[in-house]
Amino acid sequence: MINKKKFDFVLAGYLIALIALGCIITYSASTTTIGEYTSTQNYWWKQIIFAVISLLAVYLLLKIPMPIFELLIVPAYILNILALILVLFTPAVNGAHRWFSFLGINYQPSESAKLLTILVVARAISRDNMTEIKQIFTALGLTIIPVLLILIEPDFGSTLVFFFSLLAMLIAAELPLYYILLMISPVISIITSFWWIAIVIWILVLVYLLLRARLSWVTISIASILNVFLALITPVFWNSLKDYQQQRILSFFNPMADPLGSGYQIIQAKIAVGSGSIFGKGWLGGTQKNMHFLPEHHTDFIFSVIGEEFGFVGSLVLLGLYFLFFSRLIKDIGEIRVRERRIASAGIFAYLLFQTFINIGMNIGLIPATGIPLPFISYGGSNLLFNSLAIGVILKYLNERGLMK
Amino acid sequence: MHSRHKILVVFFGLLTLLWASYLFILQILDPFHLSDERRIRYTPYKEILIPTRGSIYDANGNILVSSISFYQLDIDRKAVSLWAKEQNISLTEAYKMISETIGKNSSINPEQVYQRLTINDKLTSVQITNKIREMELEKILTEFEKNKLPGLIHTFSSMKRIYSQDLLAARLLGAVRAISDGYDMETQSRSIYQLSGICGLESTYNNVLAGEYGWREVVYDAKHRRMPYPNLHEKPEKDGYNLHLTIDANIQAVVEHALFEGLSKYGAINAGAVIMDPNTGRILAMAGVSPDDRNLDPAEVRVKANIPVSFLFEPGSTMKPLTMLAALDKHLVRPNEYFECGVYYVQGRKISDTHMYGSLRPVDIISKSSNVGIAKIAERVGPRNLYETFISLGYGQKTGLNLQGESSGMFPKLNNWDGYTLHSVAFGQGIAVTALQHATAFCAIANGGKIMKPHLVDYVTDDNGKIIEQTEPEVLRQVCSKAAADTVRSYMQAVIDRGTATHIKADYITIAGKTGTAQKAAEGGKGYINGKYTSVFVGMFPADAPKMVMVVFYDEPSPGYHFGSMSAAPTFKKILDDILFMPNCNIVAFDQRLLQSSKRMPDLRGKHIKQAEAILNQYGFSYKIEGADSSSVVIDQFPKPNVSVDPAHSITLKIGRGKKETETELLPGLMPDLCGLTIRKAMQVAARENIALKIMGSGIVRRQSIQPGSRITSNTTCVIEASI
Repeated sequence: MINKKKFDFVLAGYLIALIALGCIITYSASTTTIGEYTSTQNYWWKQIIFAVISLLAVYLLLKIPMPIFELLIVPAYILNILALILVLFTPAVNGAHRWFSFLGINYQPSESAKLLTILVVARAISRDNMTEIKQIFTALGLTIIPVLLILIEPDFGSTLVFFFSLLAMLIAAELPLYYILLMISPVISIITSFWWIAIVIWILVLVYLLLRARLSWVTISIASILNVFLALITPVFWNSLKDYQQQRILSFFNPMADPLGSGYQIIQAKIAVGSGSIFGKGWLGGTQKNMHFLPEHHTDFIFSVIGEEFGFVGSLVLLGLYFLFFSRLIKDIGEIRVRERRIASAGIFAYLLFQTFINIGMNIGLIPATGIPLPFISYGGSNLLFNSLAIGVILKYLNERGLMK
Repeated sequence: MHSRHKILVVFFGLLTLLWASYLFILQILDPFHLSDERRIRYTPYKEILIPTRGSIYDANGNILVSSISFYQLDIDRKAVSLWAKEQNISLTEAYKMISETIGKNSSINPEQVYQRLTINDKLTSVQITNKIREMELEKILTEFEKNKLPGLIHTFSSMKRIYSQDLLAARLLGAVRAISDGYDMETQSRSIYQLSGICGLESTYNNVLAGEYGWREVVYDAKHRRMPYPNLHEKPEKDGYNLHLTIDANIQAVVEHALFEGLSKYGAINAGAVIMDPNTGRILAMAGVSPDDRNLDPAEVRVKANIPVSFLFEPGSTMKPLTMLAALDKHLVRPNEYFECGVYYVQGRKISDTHMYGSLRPVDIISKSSNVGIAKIAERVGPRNLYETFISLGYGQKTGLNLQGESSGMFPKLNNWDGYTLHSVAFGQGIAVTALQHATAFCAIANGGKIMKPHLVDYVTDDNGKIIEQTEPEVLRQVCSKAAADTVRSYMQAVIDRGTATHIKADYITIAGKTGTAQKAAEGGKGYINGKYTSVFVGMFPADAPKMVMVVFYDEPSPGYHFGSMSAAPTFKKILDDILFMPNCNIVAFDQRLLQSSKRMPDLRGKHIKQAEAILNQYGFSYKIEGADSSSVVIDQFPKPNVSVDPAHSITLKIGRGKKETETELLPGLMPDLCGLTIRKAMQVAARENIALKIMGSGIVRRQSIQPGSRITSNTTCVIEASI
């Protein structure tokens, strides 16, 4: 079923390169080396097995005829929603209900939900004869169901991905930009509410942008008033919080304020990356990692291992690989002419991009810790499988281009 | 390109640029100096290794004093809670598992451990105990390792001296004090811990016993696990050397028992005895006791003065053989010459004898103990000669034993002698000696005129048993001719054969000895106290070639017993008998009489009193029982097991509380030193030891009612006085 003329070998090559790199780094992350003493945990060969399974799954996906694939999306989404409900009744691991575990395999339904929601939303909003408002609300509705279920688990970090890819899909759906602006304006209002000058500037900018979009005065007034109201109510809400609640939120945004608690991981990761300097401490030589100062160094903080052991050069090589990979994705999206597929591809692009940059930002201390792994590199079966399948979907779309419409 | 497409490109490009430039700042410009962290992570932490203080053994290799280390056990509750999450069990379950594991492998009650673990609910480290023994600790460590339990932290806490023979030679051995300098109350950590000798052998040989500190570099990872980092430096600690004394614990026990018995029988306030081997200068026993020693806390007895080296007494008539020695050595008297005895006036002072003997030969001047006779002989010797002889015998100076607290005695300088000093010194007045000096001097009579350097330490070994230092017998000087010494010894034998101590004569051994009775000199001024005496006996055996020289004295025996012949001499005889009856004693070959009449002493210690009585009756021993009526277990016996005893000889059984009870009594801690602390800190320290405090005043603690280092039981109340 693979059309050799249309198949994007370059993108597939980048994918395999990233996955291979992931296996190598996972080996280092699962090894503790001090002098003559070396101990290796079994993560690395598990990751290799996951990699093989993932690539096989991509191959199978490409083999499935397009009509069957399109037919499967909606039932799969519904099944996934059911799985998200069922997972809430599993015993808690570390205080959260995130995993199904059978035959020694842990399956995380929230991982598949990300990909399936993107596909379903793309399907829903690409239908003909839909007003813009209807598109927004359909997309929001289809997204909010899995998001709520995942929040109950609870898994806050994962839900952010949904909103980011939703925005990307709405942009790709050629919705007027002011809708996007209106959608993100409440978030900005809340953030600016801590400094009154920022509120004033923000509201002025908002009004100016809405005016340029030639919206009616009524809409502009309502939007402005709502935003001002939100900005004013936030401090009141903030003050009604208990001390420890405030503390928790503050230390989320400023990890340095709580260096032994919530900020510990971020600080240790930053130390690891920073101490790597230009060329790093060498393969398997990371002190932060070997001395166990760096927590979760095979999953969320694997970028720190790269930064520590291969330095600026290594980090830049990885960042460059991601850059090439995402550039290629952007180019490919441009070549997909089917509206539904282009929207879905944009969602997938945003989904991977968000995870990548949030994770790296978290590792270098730019962004609070959110528990989002680094796509293709971090250890983890479900994550690797569905990230690979997402690329598989784009490869499949590319393979089918020019056949319809 | 599509316009929407451009948004994606721009957004994505900006993100990449931002991230890359931040990486550049972080890794290359390094504004936070994070590149130093690599060095910091592997910076080793220096751990102090505390040496074990050396042990003290007696001449037979029996241990007298040894050390035991205690450790502090903490549980890191944070680590436990993380582990509990990992294992998917509740924190309560985890705590229960830990407290049960600790309880099973030590004497600590698991419920108590659980209580400590759940104290104030925070996830901090919590101290379980600071008195866990090395053996128990090792068991707990292996058990924790085996079950992969988390959170156990152990650190050295303290060291304690164990006295295997209880009060035996308590004052000689001395005591130690725990010094924890650099103790920081806030962090509750101490930099260096040591036991330091404060008196007795512990103090004299502190440098030998203490050992040397070591250190070890360790690298801990983030979870406080020790990492096998290569090329770490280490200087192992050097454990203290062991002292092997010349003291024979069996003889020491015999002596102490005899002295205690004598104290109660003769009503004296102090008693002392020294036994020396005249041929080598080895001190075989050195005992000094007061009546209340047995009732006091052993720790209090240990810090008391070592009577045989520090207590001064006037030797009285026991000086006469030495005066005679000076005369005989210079050939100033002939053995068959007669001296007119009775009454003699010197510079208006009257010297008189207790009995009127008429004229006496030198041998009888000694055996009958004639003051007049010896005074006349002293006149012949002359002050300079007598002074020099006594000085060379070792009076008025330290013996060279170098034991802490040793006194040099009081012997007036020749320039200060008045007309009467010559006479008084000749029969032991106006001179004060220590029992050790006296024994050293009489060793010269026993061995043919050689002053041997007395010594207590036979050899010093390291912890592998290798001999580091061996004391060789050392002749300090020859004080007289062998003939003179032998003659004096034969005169002293006459004391036992037909003189003042005929009642201690034995037909199985020849004894040479001399009794002495001296009025106690008034403190500070001149003159003597009426009715207060020191009774002394100096003896050696066998008389023809002495193997032991013994000095026994009683301080202030009650009237009637104040003569040397009435108290010190019988005690000498009793000690002599006990020594000769020891199974490994080779001083006399057991003749038929001894073998027939002596029996081996059974071991009764640890037995119930009724059982012990049955055994003794079966052997036909007569016995008496000492100790509180309420107790029922034999904790000591006299003579010791396996000693051959004369059945006519009464056996003493000491009863007390059973072993288990005594052990629990030992467990509670020692009173901490609260002086110098603020009230608040004193209360914290006291709370840890379970001591109730009664506070008077405020500010800094100046005085405490219980002395630091005393043993305390739980719920003790200590009154502290504080001022600003």
